[in-house]
Amino acid sequence: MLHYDFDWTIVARPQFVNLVVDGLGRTMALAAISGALSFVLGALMAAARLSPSAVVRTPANALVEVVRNVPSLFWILFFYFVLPELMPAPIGKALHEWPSYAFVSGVLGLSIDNGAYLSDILRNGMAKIPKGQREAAASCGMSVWQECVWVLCPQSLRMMMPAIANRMVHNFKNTSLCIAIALPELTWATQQIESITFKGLEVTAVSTLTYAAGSLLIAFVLSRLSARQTAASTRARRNEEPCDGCR
Amino acid sequence: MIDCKSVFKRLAGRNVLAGADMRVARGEILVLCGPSGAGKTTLLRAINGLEPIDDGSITVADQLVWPSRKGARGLKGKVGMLFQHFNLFEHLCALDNICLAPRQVLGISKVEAERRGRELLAHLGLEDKAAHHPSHLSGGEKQRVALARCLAMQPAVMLLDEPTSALDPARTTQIVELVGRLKSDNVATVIVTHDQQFAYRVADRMVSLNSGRLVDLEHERSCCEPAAHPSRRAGDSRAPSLQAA
Repeated sequence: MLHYDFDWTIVARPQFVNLVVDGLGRTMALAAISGALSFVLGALMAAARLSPSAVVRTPANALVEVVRNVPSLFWILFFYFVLPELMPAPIGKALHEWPSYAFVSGVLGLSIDNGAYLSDILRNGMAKIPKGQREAAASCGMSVWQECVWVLCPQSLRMMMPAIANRMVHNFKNTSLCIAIALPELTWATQQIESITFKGLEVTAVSTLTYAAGSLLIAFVLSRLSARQTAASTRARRNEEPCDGCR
Repeated sequence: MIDCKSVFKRLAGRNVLAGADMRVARGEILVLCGPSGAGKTTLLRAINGLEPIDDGSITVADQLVWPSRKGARGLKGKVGMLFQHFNLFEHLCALDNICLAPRQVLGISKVEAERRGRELLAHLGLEDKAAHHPSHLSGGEKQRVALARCLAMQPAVMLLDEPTSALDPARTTQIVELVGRLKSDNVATVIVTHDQQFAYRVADRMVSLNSGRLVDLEHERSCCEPAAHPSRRAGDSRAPSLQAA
């Protein structure tokens, strides 16, 4: 029977702690930047897909379909290995030599993948708002932008928040794919420690718990945001007695 | 103020509007009657730029609504429309429903918009409902909040689609008085209603929409009209201006 001696002191050794903390920081940065960028991309793609013009709508729909039907890992590899080759030689060379290019590739790959899914969520959320709300806003003389900011988005965001939170958690977990381009994030750090110490179980246990804690934290923060938004929208105005249903 | 010329609109293979002509002057109250499905709401929506028409033209407050690409947005809130299903903004309380467009479209300050919003709510007997969301208002309350939202924009034209459908007789009288104030303020008003008594009380002119065309009902009205409510008379001192509110 295979015998394995657990040595939990490994996870407390300063050089490994530094590696894990450094990796975790990069993972969080990847998740935060790609999360924000994917939201912007998703909103743009959703707006294009809701456009009455087929010239705008069709390419946007095609792009989303292509992105969604290709593995997330492919996009990270594409931006890291393929894109510099497609560029003019000096630019490609500069990209290869740029120390942060692995991080940028990771951000771009994760963003385009997550953005495609978010565009679906945002588009469906907007489409669920009753037509009468748009008509009332137009009837009041609001511009399309005002209608979107003051009428459609506040209502649809509340409905979409759970689905957006799911995607953001997914995006956080997908950062581990960046190990494929040797980006020193959390999974890469785990692998490094394992290859040095041959004590994979302890380190993997720590990174597993870290991923779980990170995912739960993101879900918690977004659910709090969602709850705050709901509370704000149902909160009675200052100095006024709210109705029972609005409490 | 409203000028519809030979308006045609086809819906579901049927000519809902087949050459409808209509003119409403400043301060005039026109009641539009007709059976369900005759196209009354379609005509109101077309006047407000929400429903494109197939042929003809609609001009409102010297602005061409159809044919035009801008539709309702081109009118910039000059037309207030009370929708049949109210269409209140569900995420906002009653006061915010009223204040949103004046603040965003007319650029009125928050304090001024709220002052005016509260006055309108008080006019309509809803002063204690300012903080309530539409989901916690009754049908009649929603209807009055929707009306206040229209009035807050100080429109030149009001389109009221079944304004008394959710109201009891006392509230209906309140709406009659309010329509009288609109007349005093020179607002051109078109009212779609099935409530004959209400129609007789408020109308300057009544027309019926039959087979897509508008037919004047003056004769019918003169035979059946009960005494008009005093507050509808233009310039009546008991009818305080809503525009000044």
